[in-house]
Amino acid sequence: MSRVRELTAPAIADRLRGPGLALDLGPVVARLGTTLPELLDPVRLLYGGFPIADHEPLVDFEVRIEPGRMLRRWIARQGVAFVDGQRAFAPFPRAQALPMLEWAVNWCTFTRPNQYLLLHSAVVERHGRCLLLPGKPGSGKSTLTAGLVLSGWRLLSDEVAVVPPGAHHVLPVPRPVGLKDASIQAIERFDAGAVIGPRTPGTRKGTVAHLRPPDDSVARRHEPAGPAWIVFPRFEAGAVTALRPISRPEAFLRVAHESFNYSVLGDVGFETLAEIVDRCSCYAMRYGDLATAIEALDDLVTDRSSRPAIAGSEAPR
Amino acid sequence: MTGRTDRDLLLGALRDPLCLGRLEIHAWSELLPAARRAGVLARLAHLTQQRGVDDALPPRARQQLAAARPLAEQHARILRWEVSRIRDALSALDVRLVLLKGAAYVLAGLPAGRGRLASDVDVLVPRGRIAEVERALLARGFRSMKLHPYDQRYYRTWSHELPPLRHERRRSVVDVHHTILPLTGRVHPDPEKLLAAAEPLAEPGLWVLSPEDLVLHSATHLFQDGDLGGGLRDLLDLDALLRDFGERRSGFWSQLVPRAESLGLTRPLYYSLRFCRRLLETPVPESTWRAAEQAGRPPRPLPTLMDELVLRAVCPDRDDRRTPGAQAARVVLYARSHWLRMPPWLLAYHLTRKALRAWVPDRDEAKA
Repeated sequence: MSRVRELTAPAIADRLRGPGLALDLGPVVARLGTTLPELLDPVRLLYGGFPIADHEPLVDFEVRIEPGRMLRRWIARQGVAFVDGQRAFAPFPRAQALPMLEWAVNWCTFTRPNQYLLLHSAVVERHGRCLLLPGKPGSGKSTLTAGLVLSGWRLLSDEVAVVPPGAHHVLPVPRPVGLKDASIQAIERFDAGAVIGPRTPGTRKGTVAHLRPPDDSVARRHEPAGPAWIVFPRFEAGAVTALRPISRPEAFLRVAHESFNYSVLGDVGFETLAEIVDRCSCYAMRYGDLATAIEALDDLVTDRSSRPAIAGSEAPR
Repeated sequence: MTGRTDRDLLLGALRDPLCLGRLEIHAWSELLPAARRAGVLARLAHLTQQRGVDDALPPRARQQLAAARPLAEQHARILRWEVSRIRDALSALDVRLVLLKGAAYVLAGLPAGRGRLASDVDVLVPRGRIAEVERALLARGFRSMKLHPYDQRYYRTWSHELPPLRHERRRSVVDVHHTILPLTGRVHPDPEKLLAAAEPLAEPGLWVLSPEDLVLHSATHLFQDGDLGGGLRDLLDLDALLRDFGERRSGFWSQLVPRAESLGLTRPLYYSLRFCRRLLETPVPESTWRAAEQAGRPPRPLPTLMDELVLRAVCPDRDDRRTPGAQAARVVLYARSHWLRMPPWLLAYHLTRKALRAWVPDRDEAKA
């Protein structure tokens, strides 16, 4: 299966303009398409490591980003998004085509695969077990995820934990990691080698940019990992980094509340989430800077991984 | 590939889910988006599961169907719970609570309720009791969704239902009807007749319309009130109701047309049977079909015109492949729905009020 970056730029452009570029994103296969020339380079950069899923004639969803028609195109300079050929979302300024593409793919990934429990959480893995980082927007979840990924953790997702009912593990959906405003500089400072796509100022969320997911994380997108820790991060400027154990019931309720489809799945959602939380030790983490936060999480998992992996027996209640 | 091909594929799949085991993979990539667009993916998923054909399907198709089921299951769960809350709220009133549409199908355990996406609860109560019912629901946390005074007036004066009520915490919506068609419309089925023929469910305090009336209400909803927006989903409801009652309830087929005549609903029944037979191959006995034709067939060019409109409505074209014909059909359907709903003078007034509101923020709104 060839990867996106192994194709020439014109070959990618042909696919995007024509039949679309089918990408294997892990649990879902998406087809991306656009006639906007400005999206070509960002797609090549951010999706360079993804395998092209030409062998999959049936995709899970198709996202196309196109210029609006008539007035929208020439006067308002707007773009429109199509999901499976249907107009989706409000028209947007064409300068925001890249965040819109990412948003549309995310939206499909978070709302469609209801055969899984979908938790609103970043997921990273080390030593074969994964850490869930649930958090509301603004909690610093994405920044922390980006920092961890640049420090050797494997990226499963920066937004969604995909849990198959009854399986006790999380499926990866590695995608570009969305960064906002000050986080972009923070990550650039943290790792000068980080590959970050173009900045888009003036979106609903401020200035946004995307960190390219590491090739290794993309290559291992079909390799699930068992959850061992749930940490609720909260960034506070100037705070001293500290991990505080919280009870499993509290963690359960907070994760359920933030889930994309907990209530859709009913009792299956309850059972599945209970299985996950039962296998995890749970913490709330306040942090004031990226380096100490990563250090604290490294310590947490190194400490744990030196002991036998009996689910939860020594975890705080 | 043209839109017509999507439609044929989709209708074929719904008629005969067993044939999906032999469907080639490229056809799936047309079929699944078409089913999603028509709002019937969950229904298709229910059918493949029920017929045991899932194992024979390509894995990715099987996954997408599996992904479509939980939402319909959630909606059925919500309906059951909301109905229990409404019954509770009305328990002191001693009013006959008749469930309509999805709530009726789900609570009565009918095949029409499986794999159906809709969580709004529709109920029918006697017109004289509607104020009490509204008060009782308001007392339990339901709130009127239409706050604009003109909307309130529109519903209360001309409509067949209260302005929709939404629960302030659960966000669930209940439509309280006192009859099944707008008061201003061209046909006025007598709601007393509907209430009198209603049948109790096993669960105390809950009623559903009689089999014939369930069919006629669904027919009315699709062909008399609205722009065929419910499209294929409503037609599948009708198909499931007709098949189920035709099989289980003796006398159903012979009573259907006379009941439609007594309620003045022969036209929507005619259209329902026509399109169920044509598109879904619903087995309608020849005698019933002939009687329905005789009673409700409109003058010549109309059925043929409707054929084209209905075909487009049941499976909308993709936005990115939309033809001028499809656009025209939408305009015609919109006009038709309003024409059926109110007399011309009221229509003119209604559209003017609505249009003005888009431009002039009026005093009423400020007060509301």
